[in-house]
Amino acid sequence: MKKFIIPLVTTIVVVSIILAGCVPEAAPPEVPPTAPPEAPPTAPPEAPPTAPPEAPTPGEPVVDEWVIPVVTPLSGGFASWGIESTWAIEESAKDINAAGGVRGKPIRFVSYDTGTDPTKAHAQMSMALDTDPLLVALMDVSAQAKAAGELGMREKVYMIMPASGPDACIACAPWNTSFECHMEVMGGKGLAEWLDANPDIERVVVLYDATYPDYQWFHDAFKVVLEEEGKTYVGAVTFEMFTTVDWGAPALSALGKNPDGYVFSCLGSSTASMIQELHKRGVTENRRFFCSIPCDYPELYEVGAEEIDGCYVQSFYDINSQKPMWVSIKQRYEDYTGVPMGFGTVRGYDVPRFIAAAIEGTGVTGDPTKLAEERLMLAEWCWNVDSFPFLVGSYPIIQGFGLPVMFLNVVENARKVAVQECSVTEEEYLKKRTKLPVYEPGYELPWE
Amino acid sequence: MTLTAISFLTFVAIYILLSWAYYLPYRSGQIYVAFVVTMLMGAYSSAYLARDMGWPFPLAFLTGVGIGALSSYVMGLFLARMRILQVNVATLALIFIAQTVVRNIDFLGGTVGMFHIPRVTYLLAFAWVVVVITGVFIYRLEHSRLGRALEVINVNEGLASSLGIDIRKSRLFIQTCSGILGAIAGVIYSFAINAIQPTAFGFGLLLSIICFVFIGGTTSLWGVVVFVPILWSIGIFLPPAIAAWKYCIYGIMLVAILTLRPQGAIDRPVLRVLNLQSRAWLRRLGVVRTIKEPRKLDK
Repeated sequence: MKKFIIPLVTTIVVVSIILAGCVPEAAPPEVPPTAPPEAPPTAPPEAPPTAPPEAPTPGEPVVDEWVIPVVTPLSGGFASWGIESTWAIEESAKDINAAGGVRGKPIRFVSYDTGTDPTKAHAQMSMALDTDPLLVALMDVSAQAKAAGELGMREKVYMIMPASGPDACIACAPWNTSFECHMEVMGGKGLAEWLDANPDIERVVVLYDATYPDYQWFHDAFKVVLEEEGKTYVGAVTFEMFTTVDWGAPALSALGKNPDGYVFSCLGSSTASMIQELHKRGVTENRRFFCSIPCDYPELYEVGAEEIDGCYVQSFYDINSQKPMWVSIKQRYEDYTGVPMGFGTVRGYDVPRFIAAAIEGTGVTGDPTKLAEERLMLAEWCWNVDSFPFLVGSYPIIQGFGLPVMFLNVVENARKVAVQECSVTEEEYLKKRTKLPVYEPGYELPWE
Repeated sequence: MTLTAISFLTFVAIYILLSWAYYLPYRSGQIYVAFVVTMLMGAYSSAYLARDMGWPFPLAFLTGVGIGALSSYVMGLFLARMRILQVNVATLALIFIAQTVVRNIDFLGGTVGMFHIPRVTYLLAFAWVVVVITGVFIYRLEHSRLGRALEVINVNEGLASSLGIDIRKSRLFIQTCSGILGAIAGVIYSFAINAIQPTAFGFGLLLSIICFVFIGGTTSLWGVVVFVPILWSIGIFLPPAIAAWKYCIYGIMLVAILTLRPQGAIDRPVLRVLNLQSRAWLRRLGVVRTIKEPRKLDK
């Protein structure tokens, strides 16, 4: 009996490992020839040095190229985000270099794969920090971002964490900049606009993955907004999006609460699957579905296709914007994948531009003997920015958090169309943010 | 030492401890995975005591391990009398329960977890001292009367009973040892990574540990010592295009090992050969003297 059991158990284990692990890294895409992209904003060119060419003039970059590590999930559960944002980072770097580079030198980004695993994220961040970078782009989320971020904080290296989630960004404060602000502020705004657009919706159920902190914070924010709007919160349906195989179960649980509105806070493919299950059970009016920010991944549109037409989606951008830089990157992404780009591309494309602006704005040289000093200069620049021209529009960075432009969209022909802007003002942000970094009394920012 | 080396060696030590935690009950015929639960308990309790209560690391370590030991003993009172599949299912369920409980406790951070766990500068050295001490303990255990009793239990429970071996007590002891190892690994893990979340103590970790043990060898403690660094480095040092296939590589190696050498890469015959060869080399080098013929006594 034992001889049968042990091989059976190990066979089950082996099959699970193989099924769970077969997520190959996508091959680097071939970028098709496109119209020349709009050059990103840079400082005016430096005056030519007057010192002899062999000796670098003080203030001139001493590096031949700027090498910035990118710690990102290229495999595992969040690989779709990591691969998309890494592609966008590489495209942005190409555009910057084509326009003359940063302080006259090319910029290059080197990827380190976290595998959506905190332990591996720690190891990869160690490898990145061993290259003595000026700063690090940390593109992962949640547990991985915190594990890697703790190392960055300890080594006093500033991190650009454009979309790591407020829990990770708060944990790593003040050594990071996020291009987004607190979930309870951002998510609540989109929900309020959806409710205004559909005033007959009274009873709302929230479906989300409770194992991820940012989705939990979205849910908590939604409860507050529903109360403020005078609507009834009928309850929540939780699941684990990476291990759920039958999406009928959460759909049925949601139906059991007798709602007339459904709010989703999980990845796009999970959301699309649940909407399809609700269709099978008679909920066919798609305007009753609100897909919050985390749902806005390309998989939402790949899996949902025309079945999600009429759903509301909150996004960080207007997909139909006519800004030249936006049109260019959007076309390049659609040529690469065949589907509309997600906010991985939006965030990824801005990372090199932001870093380039920081290097230009501080005048750092990359001199290894001044590494600690130049890291602090970059940190101070990135912590508060009056206004930065992000891909989606200009907005400020306040104490390491951005106040992003946001839109409420309706899906038409498997593509989202912006119907109105729902951005957060500085006043709303400072008033409504509830979770803040924990500083000891008398704490001073490292660069003060 | 570079950050990469420190990180790599620290996590190798943690994974060796966890692999031994799985290996010990397996030697007595049980597939026992509750060491993941005690790892979670050790990690959270020590992190809370050090960060929020200001306790020094040694005290937080001992308390975390103590909590893990007590928990595994209490769990063992119920699990020690169960059969193989029952223990496996029960301990898998305990992982779900532990994650859900921690996720709903606010002062432990809930879903967000705990971060800013204090740094311990001597953690790497400490981890490897613990590994060496644990290795010596397991070696002595395997060569002791209790170790032989556990092997008999693995082979045939009826025979073990007829020989007067108390199966339940033996399993309780070994499960408690496994839980203690899990708690030790959890404490070291939380101070190594400085930020913990409930999702880290789950099935991804468990699958990796199972691979390490079965590929390294299930009949000797040396298998994981050799293969944990090799298998762990696949995902860290190989090019990203290959590292992304880490779990596929683990799976293929596991299938190959189970087909060709079910006992694992390093088993007792291999160790015997290595021992004999090393003695031969040591004799050639003059480190070990050749045993002379005994002197004949005069009548």
